[in-house]
Amino acid sequence: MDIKNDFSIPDVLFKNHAAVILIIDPSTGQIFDANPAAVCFYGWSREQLQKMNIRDVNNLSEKELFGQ
Amino acid sequence: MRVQDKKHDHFEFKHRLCDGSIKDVEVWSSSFEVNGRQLLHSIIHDITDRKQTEQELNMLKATIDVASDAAYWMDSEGHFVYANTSGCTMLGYTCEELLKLSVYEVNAHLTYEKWSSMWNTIRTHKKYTAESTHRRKDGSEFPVEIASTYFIYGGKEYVNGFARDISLRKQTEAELIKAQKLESLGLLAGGIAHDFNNLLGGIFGFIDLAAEETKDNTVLNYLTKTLAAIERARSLTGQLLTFSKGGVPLKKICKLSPFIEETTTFALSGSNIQCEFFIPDNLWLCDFDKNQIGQVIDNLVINAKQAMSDGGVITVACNNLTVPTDQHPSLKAGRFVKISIKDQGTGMSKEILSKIFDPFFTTKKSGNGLGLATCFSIIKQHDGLIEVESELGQGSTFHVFLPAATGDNSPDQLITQKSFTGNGLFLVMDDQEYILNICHDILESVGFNVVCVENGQKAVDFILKEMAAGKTLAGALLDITVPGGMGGITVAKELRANRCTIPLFATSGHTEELVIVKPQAFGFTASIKKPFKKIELIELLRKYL
Repeated sequence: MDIKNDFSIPDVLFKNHAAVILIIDPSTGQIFDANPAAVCFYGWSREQLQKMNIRDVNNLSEKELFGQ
Repeated sequence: MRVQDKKHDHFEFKHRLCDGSIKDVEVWSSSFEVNGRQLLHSIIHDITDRKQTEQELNMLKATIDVASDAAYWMDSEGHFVYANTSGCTMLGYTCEELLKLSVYEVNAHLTYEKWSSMWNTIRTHKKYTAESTHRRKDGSEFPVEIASTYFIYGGKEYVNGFARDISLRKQTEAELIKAQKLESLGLLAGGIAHDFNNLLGGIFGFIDLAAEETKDNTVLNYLTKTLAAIERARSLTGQLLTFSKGGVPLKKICKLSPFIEETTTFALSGSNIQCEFFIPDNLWLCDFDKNQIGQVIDNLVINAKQAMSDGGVITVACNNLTVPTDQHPSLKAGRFVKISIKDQGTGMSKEILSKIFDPFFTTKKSGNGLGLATCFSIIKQHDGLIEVESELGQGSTFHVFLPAATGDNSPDQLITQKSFTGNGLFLVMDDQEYILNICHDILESVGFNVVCVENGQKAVDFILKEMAAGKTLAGALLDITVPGGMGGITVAKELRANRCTIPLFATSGHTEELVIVKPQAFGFTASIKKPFKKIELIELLRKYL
């Protein structure tokens, strides 16, 4: 899905931002989108990241993660 | 995630990257709702470098905090702006208290004025090292070694200082100086005592002979009194020699009782002090030097007496004691006789107690500070231990641990004067003419033909010549130290190498010499220490000829 179309987030705040930004579904942990800075930082492509869950990235165990 | 319940949240995680590396990240999340759907907007910040720096800083801080040395920062006014844990505990303050103080309030030598000039010195030379004294919160002081460095941080001037508590080092240094002082005094005392012993030997011998010769009772009476005075002089030189090199004890296996009772009673004679003895009949025998242990008992009892100016009771108790392995910090495992001398005197403060065995330490106006130091040295030479328990106003108890004798050796017999007649040729070698004269007269009086020589070479020549002629000697008395000539040890060695089997006796004014203690190890039959009485020389000959 294309976040820009669905949620009207200005490109400048997302695509051009120097900060690493991920958009996540808090109920499942699914990564909805990642900005170019995130692609650069994590090393996976935007498409790959969009198929991943935040748990694939987070090095904490499930318990630790949800405990936070 | 809890972030669901809040609008914003902030976490620290570890995130795995595509290449497998792990990064520390700080995540700022805010939830937002679009078309009835909750989503999380997360800004991820790589904080790996910051974390590492933090960790290094923490380690550095921990290193400084657990260091045994104190570390400080002071500003130009001398105010503490930082102190590590050691810096606070060393001075007895909390960190909060210390940071309200200035360096001249904890350094016993500094004032604000002195600090100002010191600050200028540090500023000029950038570094400053010195020994100084710090004062704790409780007022007590201790020596420190300081190393300070000047530096500028954030545009302000500081001194960074390290202070090390050097109490232990100072104490060791002081003990070393004391030991050196003691050693030089010992050398002096030993030298004088040796020469003095030789002189006493001369006086002793001639008076002894004169007392035998005289028919006049008044003269005999005077001579006997003179002999008694010389006996005291001999014991004094003995004490000096004991102190000078610790004096190798001339040990014999003896009973401690009634020796202890006799010595104690004698030391207390004429005083208003009573004495109680608790000495079991089955007390083990000890291998000890009667003269030296007598000196120890004498010293301890006299100290006890002096601590009880109003009179009272001194208790002397002896016990058999078996010390198991690793049971006592200073005693080897084994069997000991414990002698405890308890007084009802004034007792001693902890401060005095720590110094009483130090040479030259005394609390008495007329004391020389050698009594307990000598006791300590004597007991140490006996492989024993001397300890003290004391409290102000509660009296003191000294405990002496003497190793019990091993084996079933019987106690030494008392010297008894038995008649003795010698015959044959007896050689005496000594560099002192008057010693030769005395020995000549003593030996001749019991029937020997006496040959006197003044050095070792002459003794060897004479005896070998006699042997070559098929004759033999009854024995020879050899002086150990002959300045500029062959001494007794070499004589004995040469004679024994030439298969000479006659009894050889060693004699010396240096009573601590090993040859006097273990004459057999040097080829001698026995030894006698100078000065000796006629009866002692005769007894030696009676025993070994």
